[in-house]
Amino acid sequence: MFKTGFERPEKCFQCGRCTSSCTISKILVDYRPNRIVGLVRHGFSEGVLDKIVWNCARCMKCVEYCPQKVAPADLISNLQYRAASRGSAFPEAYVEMMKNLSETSLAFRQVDVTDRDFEVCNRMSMGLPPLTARVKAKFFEIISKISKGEI
Amino acid sequence: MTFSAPFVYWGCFASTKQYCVEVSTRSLLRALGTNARELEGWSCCGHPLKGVNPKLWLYLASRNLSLAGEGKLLTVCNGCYLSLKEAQHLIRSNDEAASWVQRVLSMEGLEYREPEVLHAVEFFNNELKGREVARPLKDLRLGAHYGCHSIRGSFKGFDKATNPGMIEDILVMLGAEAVREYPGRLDCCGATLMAVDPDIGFALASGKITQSREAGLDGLVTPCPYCFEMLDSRQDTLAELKGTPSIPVLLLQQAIGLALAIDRRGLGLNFNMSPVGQILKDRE
Repeated sequence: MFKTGFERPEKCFQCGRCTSSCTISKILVDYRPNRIVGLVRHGFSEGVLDKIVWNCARCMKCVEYCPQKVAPADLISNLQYRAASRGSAFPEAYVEMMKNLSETSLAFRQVDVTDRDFEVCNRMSMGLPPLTARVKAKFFEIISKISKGEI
Repeated sequence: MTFSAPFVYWGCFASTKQYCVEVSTRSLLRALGTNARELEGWSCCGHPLKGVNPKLWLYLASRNLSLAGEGKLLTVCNGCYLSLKEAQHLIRSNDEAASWVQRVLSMEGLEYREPEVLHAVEFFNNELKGREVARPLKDLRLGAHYGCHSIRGSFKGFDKATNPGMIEDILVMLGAEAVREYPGRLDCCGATLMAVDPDIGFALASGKITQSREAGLDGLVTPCPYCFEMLDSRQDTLAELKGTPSIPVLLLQQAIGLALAIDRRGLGLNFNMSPVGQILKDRE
């Protein structure tokens, strides 16, 4: 598997700027990006971070403030993938998005929305063009193969 | 510099749920005479699924890029913007990723292409320059909420990550008073957490709204459909759960459209759940 992010945990010198800028560390005291980077760097990450990595807000402040361009958020995203591919449970909302994607090519289902005048609106009632038949069958074949790890 | 005739990439959230984004953007593109075109064959950008399967993200992002060829690709969602910009950056800097992309895209009969990815903020900033607005947003102190993915990431974006100013520049062009500094200006709205731990998502949105209100803003303006939903559409829930005060929240396109005298429905203002009446009164 090639690298799909810009993480460089080996460059971390534990200054802690990622954690001091982290949105989630202010709410969850056990969530500390510098500790996650440190565990990965020293080879102790496998399995122990499977649950906590999903708490990342993806605010990217750690990426912005890291003086070493370690990109902790990218590393955390990669840990999410490693956890998911090991069969560890991931948030239900993502299961739903995967299902939507494989059926409609979009991550979400089209919904009717009630506006502030209590009128029920959808694309047609607002004069928006329909969202049908945008992708070819090959698209669904490719995402199925990627999901199964065949490509 | 001209951004004319871009392909518009709507993305999932704006086209399936947060309809005011698509409605207001279409009205603006018409009113400004931009010759925007639909991107044929588009799909999800991959952003929400990057953690679950990064290859899926890379395929989805790169196929949407390729559909725009060498043209301009206008995004109306921060998530799509980050996804497409990061994919471009990765493909440029990682040969293995680039050859995987070429291989998978060829299965779909596509070839990898590099369009210029534009964020709605930079696009409308450019389109509005030198243009007189019909109905200036006078006597309004507005704050910008950029949203994380318009400014932060490993790619080079349209504005400075630690002190951006382009939305405020637009607000000034619209005749409003732009508050360029207020506590929490660049903070996260909490949207990503709604899929994982809504309590934390609500805490972040509540903090953001409370700080904006305490700073004396008349309203918040955001370019992102996800941030818009967190800050606008959940205010009733936040008031109930946390006693959060209320504040009018507008999508950037709605703020621009108001100044251009586009009607309320043409801007999807019937979908705002925050007290936008405070801003709209005497302006229609």
